[in-house]
Amino acid sequence: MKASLKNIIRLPNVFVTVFLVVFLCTVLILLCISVYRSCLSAEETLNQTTVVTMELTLKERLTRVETEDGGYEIVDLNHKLLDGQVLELLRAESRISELHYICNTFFFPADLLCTEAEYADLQAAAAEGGSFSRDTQLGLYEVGVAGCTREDLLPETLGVPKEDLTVTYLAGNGLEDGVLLPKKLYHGLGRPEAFLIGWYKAEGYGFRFDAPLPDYLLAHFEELKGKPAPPALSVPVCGYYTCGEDDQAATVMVANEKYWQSIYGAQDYYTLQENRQTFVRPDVDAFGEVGLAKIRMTTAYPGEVASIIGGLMDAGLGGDDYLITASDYEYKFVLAQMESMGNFSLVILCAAVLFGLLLLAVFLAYAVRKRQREIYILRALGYGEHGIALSFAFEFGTVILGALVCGVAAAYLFGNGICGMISQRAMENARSAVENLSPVAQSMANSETLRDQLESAVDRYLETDLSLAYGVPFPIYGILLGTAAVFSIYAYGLTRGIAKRNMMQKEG
Amino acid sequence: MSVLEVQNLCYDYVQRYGVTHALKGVNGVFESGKLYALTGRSGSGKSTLLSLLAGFDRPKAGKITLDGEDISTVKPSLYRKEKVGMIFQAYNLIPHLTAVENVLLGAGGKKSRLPSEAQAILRSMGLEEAHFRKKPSHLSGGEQQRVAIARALASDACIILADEPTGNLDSDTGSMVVEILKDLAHRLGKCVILVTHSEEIASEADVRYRMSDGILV
Ligand SMILES: Nc1ncnc2c1ncn2[C@@H]1O[C@H](COP(=O)(O)OP(=O)(O)O)[C@@H](O)[C@H]1O
Ligand SMILES: [Mg+2]
Repeated sequence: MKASLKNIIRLPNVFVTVFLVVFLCTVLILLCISVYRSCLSAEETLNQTTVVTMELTLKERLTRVETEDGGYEIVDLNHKLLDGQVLELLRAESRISELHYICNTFFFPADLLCTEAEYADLQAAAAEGGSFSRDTQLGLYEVGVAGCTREDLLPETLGVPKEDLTVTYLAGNGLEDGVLLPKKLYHGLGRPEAFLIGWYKAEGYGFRFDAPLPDYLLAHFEELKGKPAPPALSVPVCGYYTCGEDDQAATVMVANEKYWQSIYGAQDYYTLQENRQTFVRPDVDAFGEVGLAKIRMTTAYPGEVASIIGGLMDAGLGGDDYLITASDYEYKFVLAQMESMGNFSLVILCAAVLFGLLLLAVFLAYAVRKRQREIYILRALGYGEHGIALSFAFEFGTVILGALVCGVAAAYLFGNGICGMISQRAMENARSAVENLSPVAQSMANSETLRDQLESAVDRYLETDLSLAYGVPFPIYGILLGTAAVFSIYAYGLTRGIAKRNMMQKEG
Repeated sequence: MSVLEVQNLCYDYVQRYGVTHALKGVNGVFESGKLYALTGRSGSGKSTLLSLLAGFDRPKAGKITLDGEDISTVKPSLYRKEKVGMIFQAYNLIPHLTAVENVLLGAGGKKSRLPSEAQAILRSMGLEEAHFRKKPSHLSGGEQQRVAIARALASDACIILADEPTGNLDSDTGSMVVEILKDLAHRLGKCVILVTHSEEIASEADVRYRMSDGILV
């Protein structure tokens, strides 16, 4: 044994090579495993912390068609699904965590739903042919977004005393749009100017509720009948219309989609995208935007956006009427960074494993063959095959084990530092990607948007905790040790094979 | 006083393309205290005979006895360790060991062999002290052979088999090596079997054998 240890020093060429191969491969393998695992866990964190917003848009909804008798008919272009059904589909998808309905507001004939007497009227109207028509007081309960043709009708419309009403007009608007709210509510709002109400002067619309009363509405009345009649029906609010920017109109509560289908005569509400001028629409068409316009959805499964969308389309949404877009650019960007780093480390890992195994196997075979003469002399001196093979195996095994231990120690000591350097570089690369946004992209019309998008994606990436850190699961050390043992056995076998060979045959 | 006796020794090399009958019934007696010279043309079977005497393989037929005991009854490695010292034409020494270490290696299992004893043997072989810690590559051919002989002696073997130990040496050095071998036989009472091509060297031997086509004549 002592002689074997001495041999290690005496044969520096052989053993330094073996040592270096094993040492470098060990360090590489451990580092790559660490980087790969860090990437995986960062991906997991990313998946767990990222919420992707998707937006479902209705391509076109209702249109108004002129009838022969000069009237208008509202035609639902979306024959396939009712809004409620769309929502049902969305709700059935368990990966969607939040639904945020964006609709055009409409005025709900809330007072119709208030009293038994009114209900009796409704029933009668329904019995007469299912059509219901009357002048209505409009107002959305609790929030009270309202509109009417004449301002002096407002108190009546909203059911509040005149002195309690605040009307704010927006300057320069031909259609006299304004905010019409009960004072109480008006003062409670952070941005009352966001409550923009437009209304039509066209007669017959806006104040006239002229549509067949759907069954489910009747069913709803039926439900109410059994209960002690509340003085006012609280319409369940199911969503918000939100608009982020200051110059865009925003924030309207809408009623439960259960009632939507009945509100063809509602006033429309629409946002200003660029400037207030577009608010004025000469071809006033309230119907195009009644009801569900957009649904904002969120999912906590950013990686499954495509499958969610595909699933929804397959489930019946179809691509003709609805469009779903996902704002997952940032997620994808960050994920791509991690994946590419993870894959890169995996490639290096495989290369290190493969080259390490191959190199070591070949080199051991070469080194043992090179010592063939030594084996022969030892045999001639009366050393047994087993003994010679054992001492050779011990020599190689010791060096391999030593290199392994040094490799593990080096990886352990410097692993975090090296990993840190790698993440540093990765982040710098990401940063320079923004700076070097190619001239092609610069020249494109939407280069600003592109750049913004990329920048925020990079920010998101830099925020993501991709802290590459040294971390190797315990069994890996076991595997490394096992490999060392296998190579020792291999060296034993090689040596014994040469020693066993008939020395006389060998001589020829 | 030991006697190595060879009876009707046959050995074949079996290869893919045919069989070489290297030994075809060799008979001979080798006694201790004598230097035997084994001459013969290349390929006549000298090395084969020496290898069998060293117990590297079993003969196809015939037997080798040492003091009347068949050597095949002894474990070959043990037989080699205790009874036989071998010297080859070249590459006798393990290159990464010093002269002393090479000699110590010859002591084999004899742990008691001290470096001082190895040095004593080396000294008795006429190797200068300065060379003791040198690696074989730093020694001349003659010096290397002295070390090899010293190593063969280190195990106290009674039989010394030398396969053309002078083949790589100039004639002066060669005859010096032969002197040493002769000394081993006469003074230390070893049975020394020397394979050589040189008539001059062979004439130094006590007994001369000639191998011819697998037969000892
Ligand atoms: N390993 C071997 N394989 C096959 N044939 C061999 C081998 N070694 C020697 N021979 C053959 O055996 C015969 C005797 O060889 P050898 O004993 O080496 O002769 P010598 O030492 O007298 O030159 C020769 O014909 C040689 O070709
Ligand atoms: Mg020969």
